[in-house]
Amino acid sequence: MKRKTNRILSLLLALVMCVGILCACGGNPPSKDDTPTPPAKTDEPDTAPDTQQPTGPDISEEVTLTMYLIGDRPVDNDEVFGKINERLKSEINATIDVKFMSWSEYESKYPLIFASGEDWDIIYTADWCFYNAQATKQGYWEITQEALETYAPMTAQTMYPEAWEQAKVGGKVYMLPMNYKEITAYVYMVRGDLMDKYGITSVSSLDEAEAYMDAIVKNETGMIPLDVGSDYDKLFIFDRMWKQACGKDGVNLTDVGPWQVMASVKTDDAAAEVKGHYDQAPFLDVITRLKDWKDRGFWSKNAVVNTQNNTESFQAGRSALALMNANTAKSVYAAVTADHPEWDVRVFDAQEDVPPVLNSYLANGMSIFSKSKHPERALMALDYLRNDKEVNSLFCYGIEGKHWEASGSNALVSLPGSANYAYDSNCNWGVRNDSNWRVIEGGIPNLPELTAGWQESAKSSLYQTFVFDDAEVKNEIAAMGEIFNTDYKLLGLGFTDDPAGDIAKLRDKMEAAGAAKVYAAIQEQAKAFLETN
Amino acid sequence: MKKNDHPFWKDLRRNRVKWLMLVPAAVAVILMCYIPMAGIVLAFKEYNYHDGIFGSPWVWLENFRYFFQSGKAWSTTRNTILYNLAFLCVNTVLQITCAIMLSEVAGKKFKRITQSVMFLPYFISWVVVGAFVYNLFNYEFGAVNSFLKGLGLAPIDVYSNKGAWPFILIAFSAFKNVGYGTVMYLASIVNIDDHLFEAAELDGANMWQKIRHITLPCIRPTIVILFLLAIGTIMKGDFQMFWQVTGNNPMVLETTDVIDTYVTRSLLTLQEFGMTSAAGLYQSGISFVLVLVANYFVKKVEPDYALF
Amino acid sequence: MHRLKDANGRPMGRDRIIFNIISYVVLTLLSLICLLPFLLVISGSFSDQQSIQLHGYQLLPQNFSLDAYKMLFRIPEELLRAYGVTIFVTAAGTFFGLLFTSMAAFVLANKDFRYRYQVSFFFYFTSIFGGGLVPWYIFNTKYLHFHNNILSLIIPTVINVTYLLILKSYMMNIPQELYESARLDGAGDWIIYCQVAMPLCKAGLATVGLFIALNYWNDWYNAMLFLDEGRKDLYPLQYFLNNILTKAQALNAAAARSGIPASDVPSEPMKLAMTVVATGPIVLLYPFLQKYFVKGVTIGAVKG
Repeated sequence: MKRKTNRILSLLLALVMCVGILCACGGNPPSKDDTPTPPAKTDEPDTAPDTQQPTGPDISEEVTLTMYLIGDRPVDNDEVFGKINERLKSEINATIDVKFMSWSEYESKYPLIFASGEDWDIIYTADWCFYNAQATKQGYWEITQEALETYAPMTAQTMYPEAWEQAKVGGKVYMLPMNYKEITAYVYMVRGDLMDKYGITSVSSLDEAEAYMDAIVKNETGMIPLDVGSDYDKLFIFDRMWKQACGKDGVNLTDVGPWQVMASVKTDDAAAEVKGHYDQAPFLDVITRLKDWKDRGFWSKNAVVNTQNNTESFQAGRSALALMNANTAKSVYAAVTADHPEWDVRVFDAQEDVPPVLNSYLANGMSIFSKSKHPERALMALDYLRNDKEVNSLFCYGIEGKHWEASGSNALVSLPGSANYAYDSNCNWGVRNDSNWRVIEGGIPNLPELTAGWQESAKSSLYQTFVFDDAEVKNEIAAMGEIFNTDYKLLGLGFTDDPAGDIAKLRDKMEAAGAAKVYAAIQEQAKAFLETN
Repeated sequence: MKKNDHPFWKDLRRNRVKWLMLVPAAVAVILMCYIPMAGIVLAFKEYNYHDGIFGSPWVWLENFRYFFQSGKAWSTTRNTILYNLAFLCVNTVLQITCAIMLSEVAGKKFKRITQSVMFLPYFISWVVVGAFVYNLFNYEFGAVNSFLKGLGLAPIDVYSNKGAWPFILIAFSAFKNVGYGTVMYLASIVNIDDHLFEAAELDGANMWQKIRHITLPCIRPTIVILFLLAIGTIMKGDFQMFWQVTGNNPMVLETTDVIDTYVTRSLLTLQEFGMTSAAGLYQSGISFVLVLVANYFVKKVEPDYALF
Repeated sequence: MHRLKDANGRPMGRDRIIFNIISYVVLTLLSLICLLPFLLVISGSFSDQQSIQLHGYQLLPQNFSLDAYKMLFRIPEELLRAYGVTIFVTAAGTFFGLLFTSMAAFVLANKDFRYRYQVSFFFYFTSIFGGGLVPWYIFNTKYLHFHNNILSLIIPTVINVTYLLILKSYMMNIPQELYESARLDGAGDWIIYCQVAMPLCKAGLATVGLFIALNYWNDWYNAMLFLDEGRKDLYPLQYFLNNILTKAQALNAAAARSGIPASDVPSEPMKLAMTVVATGPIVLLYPFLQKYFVKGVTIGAVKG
């Protein structure tokens, strides 16, 4: 008897709890009240006849925009933004208040500030920094063509059309991508002393690298020729081999879709038949060669759990060769030549015949929060940050005469004051602009020559502006992401005893994960993409 | 006034001080756990910021699909449970042994120092432990292989050896947790009424008999409750431990992959709150059933030891 | 013959001597296993980045370097303030946590509290089911206004249900007759809690208090979620340290992806220096708690 009442009571208790929860939550629908309002709120231009530009947007109300950047506040940030705000105030009657989200927390915090109900307006974004995920969750304010023309006329004029296309998610644009063409080209960094010791004259192709590494592994005990395998460079060698194999005449393959689905398509195929890499002809050869290199000890037997990337190992003197992109090479070269001049470090082009790829414009950009109270004003401010020479230079390089000094029209010299506001390191990457860009001189001796060659051959890949809409196949992509992170990466480092057999296993797993469905979806969208472009 | 006759209201009036003493803890739990718990619905939704948690569209079981479709649901669930059982057994035995030894050891200074020293590993983060493991077992440079080479033996490749990892993980789990858990049992042992030991001594009981017949039975409630609590977390893996100690090594996943590491790997780039939530709900659901069953049996045998 | 004495000063028999010898050997071995890695950590924290990358962790630093500590102590006031915040948060959190936890545990361990199972279930349920990070974060920031509020470092972890149930199990060891006799003397529940239950459960309180304190001491996650760089003065120690380290790592990772300049923080020795800086004080504090873990506080003594 007692037992029963107890049970009923505990049920009641639970019920009360539930009701409590529902009340607590039902009473405050979290977001209904502040739906994003496109330009309807502001008055029509005719009610403000005495503003300076009768046709322009209404800027009579003074606003402060909150802008989130990633990183740590540079010491002179407030001084720089003081100057930026002076100009913004006089031009568009708005000022910017900058908030920083540090590198240690952005991965957790970035999605949360969208959910928190905090009041803010502008944020840094990038394809590697949640752009797609937040855009599909309606985290950003849509930037329409009309809005761009009305509120950001300078941007509307200078925006690269392909950048605008790239930024589309489900046909809508949510970011202003950087106005900056950047190429990623890979270089080998090699120990000159060891090259001379073994009579190697050049390391600028996979074959030459093979000869060099062979000499190292046979003669330099205790040294790993190329210490790849960390999360950062697990697939570096695979990529070199794969890209080279794909570019060969008669093969002509190009990757398509998100990288974790491992899909490729023939560049001359109008039907855009999408297949997994494992079903393409060169894949087996590439994996077999990787296995051979791994078996010969070119990289560690434990490469898959490597915690250091190959440049760190190279700098520490543990390895004799490093593969990296040209940007990284600049800083590594400076550090290594300072620490170990006796190494006589040399840099060689690792692209071989593969034209370097023009980076996605989405590698850096700026977006507006979907619940911003002043999205139009935010867009106007971004217009100035991007295109106004004075504001853009302040943001990117700091104050002229204090942090930097011009050297010609497209180069600069850093001044000692730049310690407090360093060149291109204030999360200004989203507003980089080719028309106002300045480089710092110095560094690797043959780099200008290499760069010139790359710039000549660089091209956008066929599907550069193709963005795959994964809404229907998220589960499959998650399952394939798992395979990519495990089996595929193992193959990519040559960890297999039986390449053909393990490729077949990879195929089976991918099919079980739903590869056919994903490839069909990619193919359909890619075909439509080819037809409209 | 019929409702006032219900035993609950009577108890509330009679024991109001007791109920009041529960209030602060209950309020904290309601605020921090029960209200946000409504967010469980996310597991069945495709979240977007515009519509918020409650307004986002329902997708029902869609968020669970990736987990079961991968074919890894069973193996990761099995690994999670087996690892947790192994940790529970090994750690409990070690902790109780250490606690009994510490309570019996004569030297006071020795006791204090060992107790402190055994707590040190608790402060070493899993990232650093992971680096230790790498330094030990790395094929080319690791301490173990350097040692083997020094003896003229063939080096071993631990990172491709699936069978070795359960032992390594269990050993490092013990390493991190022994000092921490020992304290719990020590606190239980020092609470044992000394008269019991004195009486046993008069009866001529030796050390082992006293441990068997007094110490162990007296700390049984603590053992049982810690066991039940462990059942409640049996579906959760210490993510940092598995990720860092194995270095997220794809070669040995068969024996080291648990639900949390699997979910993290799959969703690394997707950022789907709903899918994370779904995996969490699956873990909670299974744990809950297991705990209900375990608690039911404990309650049958010894109601005082039950969790609820 | 001089007889050996045990921990309580009583003479030991042969069985105890054997047990003691075994204990000394086992505990010494275990302590060495626990101590060695910590020595490696200390030594590594005084090494330079490259020698760790090249040689791994060594018992003696290969290239002695203070770089990691210089980095941590670059702005000493910040580190000291972070220590201050952590000490305050730990003290306040442990006090309230232990008070609330022990009150609830006392009631739930009371056999004449009729609803002890139901209420225990009410608490326990939350340790199994949770709404996940996002709803929790939204509730805490939108409705409790924890953003940039020091309460956000204290309140979310003030009750840990696991500790509550562990403390309850300790309290159940207290003979209920003691409560009865106190009640006959006219004591109410509150008096019984303060004057009977608390003194008899010192070891349990010390244990749970220690765990609560460690949780506060080591917490950086709440700080990461709720504090932004405008309130650097509220950064607790672990977050402050964590920030310096992960900043370097994340910056390098992003640099690899997008042509952003990389950093040159000595991240390897830094990881280790962080451990040293954060562990030191609490290790020094621990011996003070140990007096509660000495056998021989008899219940009989209180009874008599």
